Amino acid sequence: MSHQVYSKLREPLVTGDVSLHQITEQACAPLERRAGLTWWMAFALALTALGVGAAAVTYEIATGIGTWGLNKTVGWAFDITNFVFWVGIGHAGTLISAVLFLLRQKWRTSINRSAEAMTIFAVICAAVFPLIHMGRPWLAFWTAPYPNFRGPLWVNFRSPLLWDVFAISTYFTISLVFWYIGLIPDLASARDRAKSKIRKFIYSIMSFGWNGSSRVWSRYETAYLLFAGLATPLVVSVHTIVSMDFATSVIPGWHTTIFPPYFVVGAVFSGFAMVMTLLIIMRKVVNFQNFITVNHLENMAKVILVTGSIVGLAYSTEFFIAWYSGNEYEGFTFVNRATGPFAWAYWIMVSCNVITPQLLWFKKIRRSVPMLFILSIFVNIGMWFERFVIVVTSLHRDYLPSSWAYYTPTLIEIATLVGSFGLFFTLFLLFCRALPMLALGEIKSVSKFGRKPRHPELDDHSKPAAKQPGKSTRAHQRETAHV
Amino acid sequence: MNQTKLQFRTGPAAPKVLGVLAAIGLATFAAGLIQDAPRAWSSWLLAAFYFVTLALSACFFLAFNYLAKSGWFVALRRVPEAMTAWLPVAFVSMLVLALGTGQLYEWVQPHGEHAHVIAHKSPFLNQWFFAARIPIYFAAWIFLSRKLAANSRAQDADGDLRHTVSSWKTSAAFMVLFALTLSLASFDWLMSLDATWFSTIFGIYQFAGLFEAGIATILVVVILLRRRGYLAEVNDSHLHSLGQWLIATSVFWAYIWFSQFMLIWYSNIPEETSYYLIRSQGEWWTVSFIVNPAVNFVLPFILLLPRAAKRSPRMLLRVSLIVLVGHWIDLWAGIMPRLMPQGPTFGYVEAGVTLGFGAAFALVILKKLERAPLVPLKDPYLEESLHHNI
Repeated sequence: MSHQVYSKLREPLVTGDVSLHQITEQACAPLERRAGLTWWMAFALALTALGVGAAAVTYEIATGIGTWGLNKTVGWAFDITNFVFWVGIGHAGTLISAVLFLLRQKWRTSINRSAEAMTIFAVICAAVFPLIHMGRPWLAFWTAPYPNFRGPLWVNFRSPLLWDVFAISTYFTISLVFWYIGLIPDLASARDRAKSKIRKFIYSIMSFGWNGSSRVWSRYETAYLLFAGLATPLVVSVHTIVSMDFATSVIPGWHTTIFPPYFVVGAVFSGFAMVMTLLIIMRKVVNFQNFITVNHLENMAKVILVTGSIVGLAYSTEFFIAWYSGNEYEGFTFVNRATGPFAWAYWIMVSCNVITPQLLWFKKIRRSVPMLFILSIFVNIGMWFERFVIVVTSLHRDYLPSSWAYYTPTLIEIATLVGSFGLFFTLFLLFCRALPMLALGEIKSVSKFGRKPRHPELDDHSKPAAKQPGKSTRAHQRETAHV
Repeated sequence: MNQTKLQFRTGPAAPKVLGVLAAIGLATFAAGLIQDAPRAWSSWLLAAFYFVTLALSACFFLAFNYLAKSGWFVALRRVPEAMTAWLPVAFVSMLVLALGTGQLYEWVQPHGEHAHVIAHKSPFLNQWFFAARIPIYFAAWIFLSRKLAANSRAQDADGDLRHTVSSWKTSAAFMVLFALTLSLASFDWLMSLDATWFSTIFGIYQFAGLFEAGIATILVVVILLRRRGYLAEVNDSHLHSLGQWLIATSVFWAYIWFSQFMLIWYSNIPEETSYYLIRSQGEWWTVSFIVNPAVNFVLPFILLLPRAAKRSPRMLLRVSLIVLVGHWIDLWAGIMPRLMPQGPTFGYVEAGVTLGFGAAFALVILKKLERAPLVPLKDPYLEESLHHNI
């Protein structure tokens, strides 16, 4: 392979002139030092939330789904909203690790590990909800199509809810294996640096005898590429099938053909927002500013801007076609969303998903860490409400006005949502202590990227460059006109 | 770089041959108008829209590569730049189409049992507003695509980075306007042919076809230029990357095609199934459900799966031609069945008009390619592109 040439416009991916050894030191430091007070406090908080959720779910299972605020008009609400929300969050990780890998986006290396971890934890959180929605979760194995002794009772292959089981379990399996394969070389680094015997033993088992030879690396890279290829269609298929839970019905507001791509884009949008929220905290707490630079955050902000705008386009298309179709029920559903009893939820959704992300058009905002943090939280809120709006507002006023109803979540449902956040953060905090949070091997491979004497005028494109000798007057005028 | 091969020159015969073919196309259209006006107009719509998508796709390709700061595409960038030069001609072709709305679209004079549903759409679907939207779409497309091409050529002269920065901004503006205008344009020109039918994914479906066919066109032009000794800077890795885009876009097309069909089939709502109902009658079924997915997805996907295929100019050329025929069939199966529900017919009008448009399109590209060096000489990412190696 000939050596790679990079344009002088490329920004370095790793800042601070760190050496390869320093990269290992800095990235392994959180694993090797004792947990600080911040970590313990965060962990205690997450565990408490998880405990609250576990209590609520226990009560719900013991008592029945009547503990929820559902009624005969609104039969799906909080639980499904949370399910779709968490599945959506679980999209960024595999997108970053697989799709961006195939697109040769080198900036993914600093964020892929923690984003993938997040994906896996988010999918675990998502999986909890259909399970508890069954009411009798001990019968969950009925969703598996195995030869059974229940007579004609058999899973319904024509139901998208069953496709969900397959889609999500496949996605979870591939994401987990893909993540683990990426972890192996770094687990070996952790093993080689381990001081205690137990630590060394555990990491030895986990790193499968990795010896760092070029043969091992070569096979690893082939496997990684293959997994990236396999995982890419899964990133799309999961939320496509989740969208079909709704779109295969004939309910206005649920049935519309744009749902599959619109859900996928929305999932990437929400996933990136969650990655952004977490990484902004993480880079600060564990001092990863040299690896997760403002450029990384800016790239993620651009993905959020693009996907948020596509989501906005999808909202408008739905609204327009609802009118264009001439179908009065379709039209009513959308007008009701924007002006009916749940208008507050609709406008939270539109504001957080479409309006506020437009601030990311400004470079200053894309590079301001506090602003990004706030905007990413808005997106998280907005995307939760998007699912709520789709699920609940399409149901609450059906064809029969006498059965129109409102829906209010009960404390049990809210506690369950809190519990899912507890589960997510408990797992994430444990990950931060147990596994390398950065893909060491990959970061080292890009540590020289973009690091070279720089052309001074390229540092900030918004400032006019000093007039260079020999440059035509016209070029100079153009430059000044740009300012 | 080989200076002599940097400047593209067409032979003396090519413009004449292409000009004659374009004239033949116009003549067939005129003959078709006399013989069977609705069919002639449908052929015009098919050909005009087909080449709009190729030119727009080129501009989209430029815009997303600028925005993604990709370096590899620089060496072949003049090809999509030249393709966008078709847009002004496409504008004229669509204005001509506005004269034929009465022959093409049921909504011009709603009749029959669904007339009230169609009349409901009249604030949007009426001849005046339909015609007025055409200049709006094209104003955005022509202005922004010319800006991208102009920036690129201005940089050849002075190597100023400002042109790249300006292209980034232009690309961002293009993306926003493209998303809005393409959705609406595909509702206007194609979806409203079935006046009572609607599908929210339709704009994305047209986008998918546009994207795939655009990559195929870029590949065809690049490979033919290479065969004549031009574009030596474009190596097998560039072809590989384009081949990857072709396979990716063919999968994307299949995904969107399937999503639309599957949801309409599953829900089985009469006002939606009407679209697929006329496309499942007689031989239209074969065209819509066998031929169309085969040429736009199955063949490109299988043929381009091996790495070696994506680096072979011969294979890429073949697959690209399959996809270009496929895109035509996709639009044909979208436009014609309503007019000819009894079954697909392919006659001199469809062939002649498309041929005429194709010749004019090729002529415009060749002329445009002559106007600038085939490689953007002073692009800040050029070195990266020249060393593209995957």
